[in-house]
Amino acid sequence: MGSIERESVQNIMDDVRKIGNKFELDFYSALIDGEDSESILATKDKVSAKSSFFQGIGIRVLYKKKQGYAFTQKTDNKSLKLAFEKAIKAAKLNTKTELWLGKAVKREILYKNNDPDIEIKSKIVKDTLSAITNKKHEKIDIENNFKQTIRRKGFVSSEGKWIYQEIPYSSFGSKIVLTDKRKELGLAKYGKQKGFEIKKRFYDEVKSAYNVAKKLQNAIIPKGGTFNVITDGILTSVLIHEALGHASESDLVYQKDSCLAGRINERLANEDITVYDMPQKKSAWGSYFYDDEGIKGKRVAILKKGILNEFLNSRRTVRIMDAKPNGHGRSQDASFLPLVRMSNTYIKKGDLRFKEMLESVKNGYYLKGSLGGQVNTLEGNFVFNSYYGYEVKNGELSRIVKNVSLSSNILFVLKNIMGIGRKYEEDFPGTCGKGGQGVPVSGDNPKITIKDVMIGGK
Amino acid sequence: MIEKYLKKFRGYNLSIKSTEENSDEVHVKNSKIDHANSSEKEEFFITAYSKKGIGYLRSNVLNDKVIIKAIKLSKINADLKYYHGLPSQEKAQSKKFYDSKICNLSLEDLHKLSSELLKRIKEHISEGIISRDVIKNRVVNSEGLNREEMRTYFSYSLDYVNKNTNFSDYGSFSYYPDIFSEIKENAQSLKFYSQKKIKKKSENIVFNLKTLNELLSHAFLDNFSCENIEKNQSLFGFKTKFNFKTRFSLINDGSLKKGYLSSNFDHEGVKKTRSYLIKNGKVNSFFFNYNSAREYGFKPAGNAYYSTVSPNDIIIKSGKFDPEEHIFIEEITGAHTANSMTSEFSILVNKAKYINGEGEKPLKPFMINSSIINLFNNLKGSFGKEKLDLNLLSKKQVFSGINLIY
Repeated sequence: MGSIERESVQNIMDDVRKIGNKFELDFYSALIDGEDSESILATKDKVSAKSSFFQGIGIRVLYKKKQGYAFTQKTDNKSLKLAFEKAIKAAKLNTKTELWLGKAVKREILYKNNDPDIEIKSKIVKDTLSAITNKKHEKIDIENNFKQTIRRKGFVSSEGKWIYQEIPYSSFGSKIVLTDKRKELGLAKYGKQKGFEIKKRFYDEVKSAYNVAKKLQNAIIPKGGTFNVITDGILTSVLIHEALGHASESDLVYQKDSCLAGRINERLANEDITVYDMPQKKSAWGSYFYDDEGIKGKRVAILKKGILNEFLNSRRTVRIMDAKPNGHGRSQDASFLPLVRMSNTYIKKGDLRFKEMLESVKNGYYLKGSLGGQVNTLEGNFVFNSYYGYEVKNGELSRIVKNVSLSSNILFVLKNIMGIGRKYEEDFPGTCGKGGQGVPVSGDNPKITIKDVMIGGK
Repeated sequence: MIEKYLKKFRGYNLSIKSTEENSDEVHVKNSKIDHANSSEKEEFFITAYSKKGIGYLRSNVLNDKVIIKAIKLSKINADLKYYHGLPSQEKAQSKKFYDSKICNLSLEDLHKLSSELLKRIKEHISEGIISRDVIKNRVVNSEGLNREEMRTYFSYSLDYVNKNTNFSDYGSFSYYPDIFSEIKENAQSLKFYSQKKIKKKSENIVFNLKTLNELLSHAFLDNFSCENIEKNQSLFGFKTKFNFKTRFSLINDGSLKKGYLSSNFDHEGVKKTRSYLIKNGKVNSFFFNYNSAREYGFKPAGNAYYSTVSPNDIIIKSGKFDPEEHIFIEEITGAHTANSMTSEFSILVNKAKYINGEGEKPLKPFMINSSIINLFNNLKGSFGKEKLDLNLLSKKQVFSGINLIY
């Protein structure tokens, strides 16, 4: 690591400020993005480390109340000036718009990297292959992958904001293929905004991937239809993210593309249900201090005791919707203009034990893990797929099921959450896609029980 | 500039791919042009080979430091199972895979085009992007290979909305399309799906090309990756025979005229050609890079993409079958949740219609559960005209044996 230096990003921030101040603009801001990444992949017969560097500057201007954006990777003053001129040229073509403007801020959030050299990291990742050496009698293929990015982000604006943040992302994933009986693939992934110290989780993840593959070998395709279900913490995260989170993004609301439009203060769920989005959660995968528009990320109670309370917003939508800024304008990198996005989204825990949840479901499914999901925010229909699950028969776990997807409608599901578990379960590192951009998201959630959802199967 | 580094680091086996990208975009929100933006990007993909390893490094700057790092990685790594050298310059005539109309399109032209589109579309557009990209690709290696070409892309995505429903229309082309006729048909779909929905079942299922392409990408094509086969993360093997129950063909073609993923050469500078992945129902070939193709005795078809392999344009060929009635699927949700190895999927069908001799009727959303292996084992044949959508060229394929859950 260490090819994109702190000093280089901070120098660009100062240069951009000097150049920007020379233009007559209603507003300007610049996002200076430096990404320094490494990945190490270990399989039975090879260990391979890769590296990548990315640096770019996104210039946003408000010229005569019209917005323009330009991106460049060149950091000399001439290129930065040219990027401002391009952004102004683009702005002249556009219709008038308004952006929320704030006060001057100077902040520097640093990360001290104590990680070993890539050679040592490669050796440690290679050693994780031994986590399943006691399974020699089985036909196993294994692939372990460690990825790390240190993101150095600078934000400057005509308001006098000068914000520099360093955020580390480290993740470890394991894939296990078992071919003894039916060929099945087991996956496990762990990730935090931490350094290489996440290595203490490596062996657990390999074992977890092995256990999933083993379960899948014995799994059956479930019977399709409408059932009561329990979702584990990971699946609850996807459900809350897809089912409520996206529809509460205020750009979709004002674009008439959300089923939650016009429903603030309306009761959508029972009073046990409170849902938060929390950008400043320590070490969580989706966390940040300031968003990519230089606004402090604040905790938002999207749903408060069952009542729709607040939408996530950006500089743009704060103005349109006459709201208070809560810092949810995020971009994949500086080449994109920020969109309204979630961070770490979670449902407040309840008081139910797992046994009580099984009893309340009685006959249905308990679904674990997630292969992702997708939502139509206007119609409210969503679908997501779990790694595997169990049939629940007479309040007890029964046969293992696989390839189980769950589909329903946002407003229907919120009204049909029957119970919430008493523990937060650790989420995996997710990437949320919207408008062609992916951003890191997460959320440690409890198990929940839901009445009458559609399960895809035989 | 790249040659300078190859000279300086003579004695090392290096391959450098560079891309220079120039893009303009016009963004639409609430049926109005919201903003425009332009960007310039440059990226270098460096591959260094040592006696025991390969060093991959991706960067938007090229200097001594990044090349030294790539060489260092190649020495740390232990991933070189075989090495047959770097590809050398072939005497191949370059084809034109770019459209001058896109090259000459300015941000102002794109803005005018977007305004004209918005005037003609009566429906509410919640969000949309119209964009053009001009990309200059170059590959240079230590064996003296030096190839360069231009590629162009034009894309649009428009989200139509009314009170009851929405419909996403998007298209990506390597040429300048007749955009007005492209969008016309899909704008009609919004009105159609606003109608009262019904429940109907049919044995015959037909996916439009967009949804079929989504399913193939997420749930099937990874099985043809030589890397995945080496890692045993594929249903297929280089030597094992895999036969489907039906006699269809699946072709990987990097030389298709107007093909979205077709071009003169891949990331290693290898010429893109055509290969049969499945021929008459039998698995026949895979996606290789230069070295893996030589190792396993295949001809490389130009599928190298940096440190991995990826498909080029895909063509499906099957026998004729004109169904009397069928369900036509136009929009699916959750294709990316499919199992890319077993090819199993369980997804939501958002927009579909029941079609028979009497006409078309919109269907209520439903779920389908199957696998791509099962789909192709139950492929009845195809009908209609062959069309190209993104990187898939096919007629309408008729599948059966799929579980529908209402």
